[in-house]
Formats: sequence, structure tokens, C-alpha cells
Amino acid sequence: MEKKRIDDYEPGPVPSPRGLDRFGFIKQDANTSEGGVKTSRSAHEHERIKEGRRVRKWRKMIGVGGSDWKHYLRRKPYVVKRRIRKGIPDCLRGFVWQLISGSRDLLLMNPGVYEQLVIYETSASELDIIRDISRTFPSHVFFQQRHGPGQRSLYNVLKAYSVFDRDVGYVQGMGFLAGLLLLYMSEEDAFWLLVALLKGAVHAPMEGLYLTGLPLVQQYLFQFERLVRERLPKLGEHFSEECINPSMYASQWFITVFSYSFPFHLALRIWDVFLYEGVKIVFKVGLALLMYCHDDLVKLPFEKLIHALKNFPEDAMNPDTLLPLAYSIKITKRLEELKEEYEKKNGKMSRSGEHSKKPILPSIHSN
Amino acid sequence: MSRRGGEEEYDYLFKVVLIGDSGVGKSNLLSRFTRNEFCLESKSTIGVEFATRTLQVEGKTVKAQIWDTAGQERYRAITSAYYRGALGALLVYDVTKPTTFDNVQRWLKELRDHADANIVIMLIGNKTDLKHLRAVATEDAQSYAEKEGLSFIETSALEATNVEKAFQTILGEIYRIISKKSLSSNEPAATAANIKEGKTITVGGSETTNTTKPCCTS
Repeated sequence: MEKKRIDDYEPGPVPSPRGLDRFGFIKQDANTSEGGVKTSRSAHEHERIKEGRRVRKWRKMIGVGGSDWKHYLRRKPYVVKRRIRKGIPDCLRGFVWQLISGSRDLLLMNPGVYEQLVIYETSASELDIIRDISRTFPSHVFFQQRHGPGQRSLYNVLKAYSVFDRDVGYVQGMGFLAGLLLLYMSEEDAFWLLVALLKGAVHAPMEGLYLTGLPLVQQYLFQFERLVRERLPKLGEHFSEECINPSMYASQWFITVFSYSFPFHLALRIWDVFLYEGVKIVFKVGLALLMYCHDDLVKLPFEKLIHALKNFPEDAMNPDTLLPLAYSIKITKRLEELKEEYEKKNGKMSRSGEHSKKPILPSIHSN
Repeated sequence: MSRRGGEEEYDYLFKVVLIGDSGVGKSNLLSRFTRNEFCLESKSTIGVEFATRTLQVEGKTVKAQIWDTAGQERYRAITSAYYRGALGALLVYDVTKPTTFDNVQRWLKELRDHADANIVIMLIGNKTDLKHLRAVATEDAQSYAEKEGLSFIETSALEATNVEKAFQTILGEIYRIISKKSLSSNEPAATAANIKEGKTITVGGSETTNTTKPCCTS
């Protein structure tokens, strides 16, 4: 049975006889089912039919080659938002991500640029990137093979970005973003999506997460800590008694948008919303996790608490319960206020968390 | 808050940080020491990780609370906050990568800037299992360590060589400093009590003798 699953996947050479999950990750434990939900055959069939219906709706909404997308988005933004929150069908995910992130436009506006960055430019970060290649999604079949296509694409995308923006260069964590994207699109598409995110094509630029001093990480951690104290006062109090601060558990959440250590099916659902609604969802999911586990967390002493905050139970990470909880948390206005408060305290940061006034492609135009 | 039944007892709690360039094997040294595990397919550390182990040092039960940090320079913006209150630092380089040894100097400066002045530092040359790739001679590292007043050891997290010894040595050194300090301190009882309660104590100037919380950052 397990063998058959592998055959279905056509992953090329499989380095080990262990089974893969449906995303291509090597199963750590044969006993855990995906998402922790065991489904019967008829339920499975029902799911399949439902999924088929969803895909047809989505196809209609996108149109051929994305031709109807912008029109639909303008006319019915709330339908789009609602459907995205339910999860983008996996077979359309890569393409839809490019539409909603604005990366598709960047790609079409800049033919040949990616190739130039990959082939002709050299980067000061090359050795750093190589050092981390095999340490990025090491348990995924696509990235496992040494110098295989997965590792090569990952290297190319990261190197291209480090040339594209030499101030950011390469920072650990970016590999997980690029790696996740590469499982759903080509190198060039993944590169432009990375550009769209870091330079802020649709939402606030993320580059401050990676610039010297990690200014945006610091800001987000400040905002998150305050939100915890305001929305979950009992837990916030417990955290300060136990000397827990969010840099101990939440930096990874922001730096890799939950792609570093969360179950992949959950990470994907978060990314669907993240690309459409922006970084707010990272705060919301973080708060939702704490809310869901609140009654356990408030009882734990320091060490157990840290462990629990890095290893949430499987039921907490079920997207169908966690995400609705996250959506129910309203923080937009408060986040903005907290950002202003942070800036007042620390001075306004340049190039971080702000919509940059500069064009997205400064370094390219000069090349 | 009541201590639960499963809670271990210990005489001392020592906070130690693992630092050094990216990819030198810090996380695997930690997992080897705390769980006797080694993972060839480990992910790069983003931010900080944490683990503990309780062991016997000089006849006392010592709980080592170890913070493992991301090695890339840019992450120091986050990780340097964790040096504060640390009694020991394991400064790791890779014996097959000379640049990671050259950078030891910069890590020492980093510690001088952010850690307590009396922090115990141990230099660790890791990955000795890769014999055919060795590029940093033991003698060079040894004499450098002597010059800088650091203890020194070479380890292989993969083969579990000297990992136990490295941690034992640094914890032993910390213990000797602490016990000397509490003998000469005006308030030995208070210090001891704080230790029992699980607070990390600092070997700093007299104003910071005790009660530094394990982790507070500003």
C-alpha cells in the first residue's frame, strides 16, 4: 500500500524506501495520518467530489490563463477572500499564488531578468546559500537529492535574489520561503514571488525581516507580545512571570511564515491567506494557537512552556479548526496602533514595514 | 505555583549559550548532549532553540539550560540578547572550515560586548570525524585558546566523541567559580536559595550576584 503511494507520486529516484506523504515529505512516523484525520472510503469519495466542484468554481473565477481574475477580483473581492480562506485547490495553488501576490505582473514586465541574475551575476552570499541548501526541507523528496533538481533550483532562486537585492543578500529562513514556493511553481515564478513579497508588490514589504538588525522581526515581536497581553491577559501575565518572550518561539513564525516547522498542509493554508491578506494572518494564527492551547499553557513552568510553544499538539494544528479561530480575531486597527507606538519608541525604520516609495526594481534598471 | 511531582530536583541551574558560525554543528552538539541524538538531515536554526539536561557535576546535581542560537551574523540582532545571564558559552567552530575558526575572534568580541564579564568560555572544534578534511590543526586552536584564556576541546557530535566531556568540563568550571563566589559572598544563603528556585545566577560584578531571570530581554 505504501509502495503504491510512492509510485503514484512519480518523484524520480526515491532515496529511501520509507513512505511519503501527499506533499512529498518523508513520513516520520507511519502511524500518524495526514492532518490527524482518518477518513473512511466513502468520506474520502465525498471529499473528492467536493474538491472537484471547488476546482471548477475556481477555474471559472480565474479564467483561461488568469484572464478573468482581475475583473472578478474587482467585482467580488469578498467572494475571493472567502474562497481563499477555505483553501485554494492544490492543483491551482501555484498559479493563484502568483496572481494574488502580484508576482505574475512582475514576471511579465521583466522578461530575461531572472536568467541574467542566475547566469551572469555573482553573489557574495553564494557560500552561505550552499551551506544551507541541504538544510532546507531536508525531509522533502524534492530537496533531498544532493545537487538534484530541487537543490539546484533552490540555490538559483536564492542566489538570484541575493544579487537582486544586495542589501538583503541571503538570510537563513529565506530558503524555506523559496523552498515552499518551488514545490508549486518554476524557479523564475518563485523568484518573482519572492520579489513581490520582500519588495511589497501588494502588501507591506517583508524585506525588513531580513535586513541588518532584523528590524521588522523586532517590530512584529513587539506587536505580538502586546497583543498576547491584551487579548490573553492571563497567559500574558504567566509569560512574564515565567520570563517567556516571543523571540523564543515566534521569530520563526514571522521569518518563515510558518513554513519552518509547521505541518505542511497547515502552512499551505496559511500561505493562501497570507498572500492575499498579508502578514496579519501570521499574528492571527499565532494568537489562535495560544488561544486554543491557553488552558494548558497557563499551567506550565518555564521549560515545559518553551517546549509546548515549539511543539503544538496535532489537534491544535488542524487547519479546519485553527483557521476559523484565527479569522475570528480582529486586529487590523490595533496592529497599526502598535506599529506607531513602536516607531515612536524606536524611531521610524527605513526600508521596513513601510510601503517603499522606490520602484520595486531599482537594481535591475541600473543593470 | 506548585512544583509538580515529575519535576526534577537540582542543586544548581546553569545557563549556557551555544554560539559560533552557521553550520559548525551547534544544534547537533546540543541534541547529542541532551538527547543523545544526531541528525544528518537537520534544518538550519532560525532564531533560538532551547534544551536542558540534568547531570552530576562535582557531586552536585546540575541542571544545564542551554540556548542554541542561529549562527548567521544577521541573527545576532536577536540572539545576542540570550548571552545576558549566561554563565557559560560554548564557542564552536568546524575543524574542516578555517573561516569558522578565523571568526572565533569576532565571536569573542560579541561576548565581550553582550555577555557578563566573567562568563566561562570554552572553544570547541567540532566535526573531528571528518579526518580527511581537517583544515584547522589541534595545536593552533589549542595555543589560541591558551592565549585567550579559554578552555579547549575537540568533539565529534556525529561519533559522540568528547561531547559529554565538553559539557562536563564547562559545567565543572562554572561550578567551581560559583561555589568559590558563594563562599566569599556576604549573602551565601540568599544566593543558594535563588539557585534552588531555578533562577540563573550571574557571575558578574557585585551588583548582579543573583536573581537574574533566565531569559529576560528588554
